[in-house]
Formats: sequence, structure tokens, C-alpha cells
Amino acid sequence: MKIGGPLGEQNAARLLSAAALLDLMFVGFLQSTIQPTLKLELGLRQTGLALPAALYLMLMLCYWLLCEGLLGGHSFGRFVMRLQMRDKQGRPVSAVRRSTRALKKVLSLGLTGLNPNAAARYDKAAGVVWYSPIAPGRAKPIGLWRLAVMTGPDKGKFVEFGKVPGLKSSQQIKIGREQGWADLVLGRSEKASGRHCVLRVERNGDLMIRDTGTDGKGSSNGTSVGHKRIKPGQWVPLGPEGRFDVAGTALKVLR
Amino acid sequence: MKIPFEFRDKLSLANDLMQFAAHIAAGFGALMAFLGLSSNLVNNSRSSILNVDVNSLSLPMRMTLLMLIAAALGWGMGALVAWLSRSRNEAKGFAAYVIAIMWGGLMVGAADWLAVDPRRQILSEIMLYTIAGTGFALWVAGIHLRGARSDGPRALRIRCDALLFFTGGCGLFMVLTLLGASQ
Repeated sequence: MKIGGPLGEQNAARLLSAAALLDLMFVGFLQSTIQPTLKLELGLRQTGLALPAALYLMLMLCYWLLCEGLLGGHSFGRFVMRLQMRDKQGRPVSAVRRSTRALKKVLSLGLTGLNPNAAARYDKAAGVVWYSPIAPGRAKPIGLWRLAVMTGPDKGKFVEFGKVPGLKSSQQIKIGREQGWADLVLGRSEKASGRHCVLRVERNGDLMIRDTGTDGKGSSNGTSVGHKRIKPGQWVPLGPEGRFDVAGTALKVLR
Repeated sequence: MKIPFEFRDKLSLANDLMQFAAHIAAGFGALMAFLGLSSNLVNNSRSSILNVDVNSLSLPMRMTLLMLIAAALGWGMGALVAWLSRSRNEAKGFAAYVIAIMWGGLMVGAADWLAVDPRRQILSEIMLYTIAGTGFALWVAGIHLRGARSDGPRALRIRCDALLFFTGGCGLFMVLTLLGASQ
């Protein structure tokens, strides 16, 4: 099973709460299945709420001991949510660390795990991070990202961010037909201007695009983000997909 | 090994086609779940269109039906939540939560439809079907959301919330249904 990427504190707390809800429902089902037999065996006619409540608590305790102690943190809810317990480096959690976490959970009666807005204290203390396949994996360093041409006569051309001269200081990748100016030269795309547009790479990985044109007043055939032509001279954020069009030629940042 | 760009485009097209088919299947599943609710409501009527007799079906058959409905609901929820969470529009993000709760209602509706008369039950079938269906739907929704994981932190937060709302909705509707059945 793919482990995906690390979840932030809040997201992990939400998914763990959902998994806990499912586990509570599962224990409720076990209780409702066992209760009639138990009632018959004990010869009870009227039980009120005492027997169901006691049985539920006992089953919950057994289930919890089974999951945390013997199954290494796996439970029905966490299984369907595909939640994996890992350490901060993404390695499986050692038995010692798991035991420490289980002990701290017992001491706090698991109450800090009920907050859907923050990580449980026992998870923080044990240095446990939750991984999920719906979370993005650890991103590649920006230097290994690529800007690639996806369509048109220049399809297949790409430039690796780490090999763009002066990217660290200028944070800019120039795109156009003009050799010597552009970092990604669109030599065969006739509709592209010589100095068509500039891609800016922020230090946190955010991307911005600006339509420049050779004279600085915008390119002839324009630059589009999400099928909308952007205004010349303005920096426009690129979505997480990192796609944009240069005079009808699709380009994409491959992270 | 690097995949050539042409092939990546073909893969993308195949992916779009598969998504299109999956969305149709999801719609069909949602309709089936709706039928589940409706059939339950009209069980005493003479309607022959919506009144599907599931009491005569064996447990494995009903479980199979449940899994089909849960898969379609999970896939549909995954597709809708992934699409809605991608937008920067706050209303669409809110719609993802509403859909998740509604889907919880549909899941419990389907479980209630498939469960036999409570007096004939050996196991608590509504609980069994709800838990199995919810688990399976979450699993399938996870497959869908896994494919759209590069959409940014806001999308991820909405998706995690939506999964919590779906599970909470299932739990809440199950409790209400069980309370209703015990009256």
C-alpha cells in the first residue's frame, strides 16, 4: 500500500477523528451482537442501561488494547482511511516508540486525541507523524523541477530549474523565441514572441507568470492561465497544476 | 524510465475518459441509493417501479448490492469533493461538506433499504451494512482523492474535513435510523 505523504497536524486530527468514529460504530455493532447472547446466558430479563454501557466500555477497552498494543496502531477505521503511523523521517515507528505512545495514551485516557483541530499530545511526545495517500508526497527540491512544453511544434522541450543560469538570484525563467534571452527557447512556435513571458519562482515554491513581449507591452498572441488571457505586465499566480499557455502552446511545471 | 510526452498525453486522455465513465457510474450509484430511500418510503404502497423487494434476497446478495452502492457513492463523493475543493470559491468548499453529509444520509438510506425486518434480524443489519458500506465508500473515495493529491493545502484541508463530515453523517443518520426503528 502506498503511504503517500505526511499530513499536517490539523488534517491528521480530522482523519483520525473520522477513523475513531468508524471504530466507535464498529464496537457498537459488536456490542449489539453480543448483548442478546450475554443477556440469555446471565438469565437477565430487564437490564436497563447498565449492561449495554458496561459491555460497550469493556469492548472498547479490549479493542483499543488490541489495536494499540498488538496491531501496532492499526484499526478498522485507520485501515479504511489508509492512515499509517510513521516517525518524522517517514520510517515505520519502532516498537519502543509505539509502546511509549501507548503508555502516554493510557495515562491521558486518550482524551487529547479527541480534539479534531490539533495533534494528540501523545503523538507529539512520541514524535509520531501520520501519513495518508491523499496527502502529497515530499516535494522534490525546486532545483529538480522542470518547465516542459506539452503541445505544439516544440513539444518535448524542457528546462530544469537547477540549470537555469542565475535563477537563485533573479528567481526568473524567461520564455520566448529569442536565443540568448530565453531560458526555454520556443524556436519552432511561430506564434510565440521573441521575449514572450517570464515565470517567477518564489522561495516557497509558489509560481507567478508575467506576459512581457519584446517591447515590454505584452506579447502579440498572449499568455493564458486557465484559458484566460492575462494582462500584459502583471504578475499572475499559477495554480498548483502549474499549467499555462504561451500563444496556444501548453507549458507545465513538472514538480 | 522516462515516459514520452506523447504517451503522457494519451494517458491523460485515457484518464479523462475513465473519469467520465466513473462519474456516470457514480451518478447511477447515487440514483440506486436514492431508490433505496424511496423504496423504503413506499414499501407499503403498490408502486411497482420503486418498490424493489429485497427481503427475499439472501445476505450475500444484499451485501453485494451494498458494496456496489457503496463503491458508487464513494467514487461519486471522491470525484465531487476533489472537484469542489480545487476551486478557490468558498461556497464550493462549503458545498463539499454539505455533499459529504448528504452522502452519509444516502449510505444509511441504502443500508436501511437492504436490512430485513428488525424482528427477523439475527445481527443488527442496519449497523452492519452502514459500517461495511461507510468503510468501503471511504476506501474508494481515497482511491479517487489519491489521484488528485497535488492540488494544494486548501484542497487537502477541505477533503479531510469532507471525509470527517461523511463519517459523522453516517454515524448520525445511523443512530437516528436505529432510534426510529426501535419506536
